[in-house]
Amino acid sequence: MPEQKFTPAQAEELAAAFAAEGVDYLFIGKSGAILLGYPDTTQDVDVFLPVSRENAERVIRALEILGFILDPVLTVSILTSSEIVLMKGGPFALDLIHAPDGIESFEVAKARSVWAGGRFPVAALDDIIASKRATGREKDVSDIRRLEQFREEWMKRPRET
Amino acid sequence: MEAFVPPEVTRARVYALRRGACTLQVFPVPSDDNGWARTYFPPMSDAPEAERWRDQCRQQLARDVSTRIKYGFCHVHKPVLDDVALRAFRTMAEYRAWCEEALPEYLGYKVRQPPS
Repeated sequence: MPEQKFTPAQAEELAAAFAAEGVDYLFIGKSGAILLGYPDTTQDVDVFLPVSRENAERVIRALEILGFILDPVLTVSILTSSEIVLMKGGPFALDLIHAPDGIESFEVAKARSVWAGGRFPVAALDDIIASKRATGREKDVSDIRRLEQFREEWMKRPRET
Repeated sequence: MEAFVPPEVTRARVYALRRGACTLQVFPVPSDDNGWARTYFPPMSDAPEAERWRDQCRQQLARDVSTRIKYGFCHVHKPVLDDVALRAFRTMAEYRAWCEEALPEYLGYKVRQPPS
C-alpha cells in the first residue's frame, strides 16, 4: 500500500502523462474541490473518465508512465469501464470512476468543467456537490454545506491569470 | 517584573491552530526562573463559525494550486478499504453494496439519507 501522500510533483506527473497520452479526464470529488481551493484534506485522487475503449487504452499507457503496476485484472477492469476502480497499491491512491452518482454523463460534466492552475481539469463545483448529494453517504452529506459555502467564495475569487 | 499569564489553552484554540485559523507564536516574553519562553495563542476571532470557515476558504483560494495539493492530501490508512491493492466494481450499485457490507461504520461510507 502506498505510504506516501499525493504530492504536487505527482500531480504534475499525472497531468503530464495524461496529456502526453491524450487522456480525457476530470478530477472530481473532494480531490477536485481541493485543487480548486477547498480547504480540507483527503487521501484519494478521484478521476472521472468517459466510457471509451480508446480513452481506456490511453489511461493504461499513462498509468504505466506513472509507475502503476498493471496486472491483468486492473487492465481488464479499465478496458471494460468498470464503473469504479479503487487503486491503493500504486505510487498514490487513485480511484478511476466511470459513472459517478449525480452526474448524467462525462460529456456534460466536461462541458461545465474548469481548470485549476491552468493545467488540472476539474469538474464544476456544482457537479461535485451534486455527486456528493446523490450518494447520501454520511461522509459526503457532511461535506455538502461547507462545499456550498466554499462555492460562494470561489465565485467571488479573483480570476486566475 | 510583571508576571506573564498565558491565555487559557482551550480545545477550541487547539482546533483552530490545527486548521490554521491561528498560529502558535513564541514571544521573548519574561521567562520563568528556568529561562523557558512562553507560548501564546492569539485570541480567536469572535466571528461566527460560518464566517471563520469562509475566511479559511478565502485564504486557501489565495494559495497556488501546488500549495493546495501539498496541504490537501494526506495518507491515513483506512481499514478494509486500504487493505487490498486493487478493487474494481462493475457497477456503482455493487460498490455501494460492498461499502454497506464490508466497511466499518465510522468511515462514513454507509448511506445515511436517501440518495437524491
